[in-house]
Amino acid sequence: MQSISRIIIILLLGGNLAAQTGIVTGQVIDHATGLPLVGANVMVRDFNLGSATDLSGRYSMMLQTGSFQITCSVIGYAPTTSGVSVTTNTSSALNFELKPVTIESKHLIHIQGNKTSGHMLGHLQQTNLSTTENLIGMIEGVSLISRGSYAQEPSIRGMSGGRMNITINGMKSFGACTDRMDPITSYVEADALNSIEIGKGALSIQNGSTVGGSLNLTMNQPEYALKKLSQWHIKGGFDAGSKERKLTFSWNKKTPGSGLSFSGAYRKAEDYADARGHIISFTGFEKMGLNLGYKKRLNPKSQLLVELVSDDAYDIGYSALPMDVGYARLRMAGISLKTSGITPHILNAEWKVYGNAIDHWMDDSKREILFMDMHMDMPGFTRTAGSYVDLLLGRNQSSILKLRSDYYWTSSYADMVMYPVGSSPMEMVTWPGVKRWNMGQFMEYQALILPGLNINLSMRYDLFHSKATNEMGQDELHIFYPENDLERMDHLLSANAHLAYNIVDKWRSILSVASGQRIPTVSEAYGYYLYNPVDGYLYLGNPDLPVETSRQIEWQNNLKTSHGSMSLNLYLYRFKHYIFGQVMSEDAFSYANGWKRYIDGGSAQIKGLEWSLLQRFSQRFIFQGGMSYEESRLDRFQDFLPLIPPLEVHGSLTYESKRFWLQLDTHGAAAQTNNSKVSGENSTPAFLIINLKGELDILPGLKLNLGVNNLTNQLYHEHLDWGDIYRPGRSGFVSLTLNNGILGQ
Amino acid sequence: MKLHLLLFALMGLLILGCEDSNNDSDPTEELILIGSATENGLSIDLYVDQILKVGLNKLYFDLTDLTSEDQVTEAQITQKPIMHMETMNHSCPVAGPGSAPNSDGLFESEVVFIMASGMMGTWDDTVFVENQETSTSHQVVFEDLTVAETNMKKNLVFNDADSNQVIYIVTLNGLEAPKVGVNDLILTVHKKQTMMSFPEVADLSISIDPQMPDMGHGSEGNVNPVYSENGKYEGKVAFSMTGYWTIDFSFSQGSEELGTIQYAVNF
Repeated sequence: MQSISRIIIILLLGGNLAAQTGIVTGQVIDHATGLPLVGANVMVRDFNLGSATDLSGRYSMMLQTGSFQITCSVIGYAPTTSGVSVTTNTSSALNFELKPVTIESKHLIHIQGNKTSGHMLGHLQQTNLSTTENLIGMIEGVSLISRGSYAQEPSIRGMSGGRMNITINGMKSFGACTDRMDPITSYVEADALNSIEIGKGALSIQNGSTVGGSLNLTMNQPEYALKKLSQWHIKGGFDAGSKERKLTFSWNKKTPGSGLSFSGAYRKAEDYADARGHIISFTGFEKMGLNLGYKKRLNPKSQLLVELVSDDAYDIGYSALPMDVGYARLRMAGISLKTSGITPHILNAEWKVYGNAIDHWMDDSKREILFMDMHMDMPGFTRTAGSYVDLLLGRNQSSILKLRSDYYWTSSYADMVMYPVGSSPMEMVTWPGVKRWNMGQFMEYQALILPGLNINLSMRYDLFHSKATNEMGQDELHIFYPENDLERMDHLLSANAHLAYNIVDKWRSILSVASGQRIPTVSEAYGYYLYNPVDGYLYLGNPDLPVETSRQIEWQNNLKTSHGSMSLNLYLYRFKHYIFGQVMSEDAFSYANGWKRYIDGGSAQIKGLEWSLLQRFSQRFIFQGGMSYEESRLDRFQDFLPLIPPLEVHGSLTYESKRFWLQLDTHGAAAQTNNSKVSGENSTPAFLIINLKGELDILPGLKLNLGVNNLTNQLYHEHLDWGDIYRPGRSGFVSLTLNNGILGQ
Repeated sequence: MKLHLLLFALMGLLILGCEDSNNDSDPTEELILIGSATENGLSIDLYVDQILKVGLNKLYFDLTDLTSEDQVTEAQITQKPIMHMETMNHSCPVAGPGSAPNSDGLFESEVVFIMASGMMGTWDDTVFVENQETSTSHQVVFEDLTVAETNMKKNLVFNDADSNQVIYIVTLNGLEAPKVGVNDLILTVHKKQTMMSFPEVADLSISIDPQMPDMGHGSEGNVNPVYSENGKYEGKVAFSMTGYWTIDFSFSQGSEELGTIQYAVNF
């Protein structure tokens, strides 16, 4: 069709003109989905000339011969400019891949690909032994709670667990360990990650209501290619410190109409040694993750995506706890249908259905010294299923409306059996078969009010229903709540507003206010005598807990310099009904200091700042650094909140050349003395560690990575580490990556 | 045709409904008949709700006039359970039945067996009935009652102010099938006055203390037993998990601490 119109245009303009003109033609697609973008504006910079894409995302226009800068823009995507040379009587191709505009409330970190965004993360991921948690932990304001060398739990500005909303490809999933030893992030291998989307506090509520923040892990997706091709890689690595062996592979088959990707990672680590050379017992583990994705173009505007994820970990040591994990297992499946340009107003639509199952088995069968001289098992499982529908609506260039309706159902059960020698087994249900469903409606409106002034408003309503269904678990909780039916219905309303303004050309300032809510977690509402090794208390859930509420105000500033960028965020959170464990009994026995109950802890506050800097000194040297600091307060107890990170700094200097890069990075924290006394937290000394790593392209398709972690062999642990277990001492690592490039493709 | 079917269905429902409402439940259906005796035109059936055991038992007497075949509800009943041992006989604490039948016309009584039947001896129960409807007296003996052993009977032994040894017989009831959570319990306390006389003790203060020795902890949510009637003290015990539990009951009378007895529960 467009070739006909092209001919007509040429014919109409006549030979004379045609002699001095050429055609620019191309297609505009969504970078993330590969789907064509309808109605995108393609404008020639400095000329009042332009075109728009048709239903298949294609455009064409006739230009005079010469060089032009062409800008492509469409609602909801970042405008992109490219240069093109037009020569007489020829057709030049210029395709655009536009990236969806991430709303300024979220930090989107691309793990692979684009080197300027998440630069440091890009390098970290390329070292063989990085984990999903390490990657997340590199972001300002994000810390990790560690209970060993495995499955660290992300914490955004000191808020974790139920205060955060973690999703995998938008899918809800819930850890099955009552002691939070399996945050969802631990079920995703870093090599399978494509991007990490982080929203701090209630600034991002698309994936669910939250007070602390949201984290969406996007896994590698199958891709299309213009002609059939297959790509693969295989990578082997070794870390001397923990004797960790790692093997990863991926295989991608791409065609114009379909994509298939299969990837996996296997890791096995022994106990590591700290800086003194002391072996930290029970820090080893074994893990295998597999990831299969299939994408098919159903028609030029729609595609079907099927994804399957499995992850199995065995014999995971937890040095901070008296028990280990026999196995931790995830099975996840999702299917989604995406379509674009249904009508001129509905830009995009997606429908997804998913389900997942997590099984977790804690035991102490590997321990010689037993907790209270008896073996114990703590199995737990969760089952989750859900669905959501996303709609992206736009009327004109300057405003866009995003809608999401979502639903999920989840069930959590855990129990504990102890086997005293010569006596009867002791059993209790610790998560009483809690069934919970959530129905939510989200909407977000973005608009460009004036040049350089954007507003962004979002709102979310949630309805939650929760009930403890296990009979024995009900009987247990009725000891403390005799009249309670252990069922609750919660209505939650969250909202936020952002105002972004370019104060001067290079200084963009964003003022955000947000109000967030969250319901108590299964443990907080229905948990039964869950042991917390940080303070040594048993925790009892409280089905009458109110909904925790936060108010947040934040001022973000981004300054672009000629060779880099700088950002400074200031924030303040005020909480109402902050959920907190209060001592109910100081009757200490064999292992516990007594028991605590989750209560409405009243009002609390967190305030802090984050600063980051990216500076390119020359073509070869790049510096990236950051700092974060925050203070907390729990008003009623005149105390600090627990698990609040101290002043943290990190910085890296990278030397890049065509065939290799070398990076010196440092990471440290000041002493934390603002520790929560009520929670029995210790203060933590300061530390600074240095890592060195590099990568060398030996041959096309063959890559070597080398590095040393904790170069100066510091003896340290971080404030958020449970049990004050020391982190690994100096250790070197190496990995070799082979891909299809070696075959000269 | 459809109408017929509908009518048929309606009739069926009606019949079923009528059957349901006509079906008077037999008051003894839930009970176990352990003895029947007839004497002078009166039939006396002895029912229990559970098999007899050491501890608190409920016994039900059903009287029937053999001439009219009607249930007798106006009567005065007393009973005397006796254990016959090789060298001696003894009785046990008893309450009722008395003269007031329950709503089903059954005369209820409580017997605290303090010993199991078997090699050591046998239990019988001598029952005296004053039939007020016919003004006749009857006496029957239910022989060879099987009483199962439990470990729920203990003696609380102490010396009174005059340094005479006093024995209170204590039984713990209600924990035959313990569950995790809150369990209702009944303690019975009777004084062993003679081998034949066991009056109730009604003026005790009792405190409860369950413990899990393998763990070294107790539990929350217990209620100290409080006197109700017939030597019974009703309270609650909470078990936070399954396993081996001990329960200590401490007894005091006025300001006098009488002592502590311990039970074990394993489930």
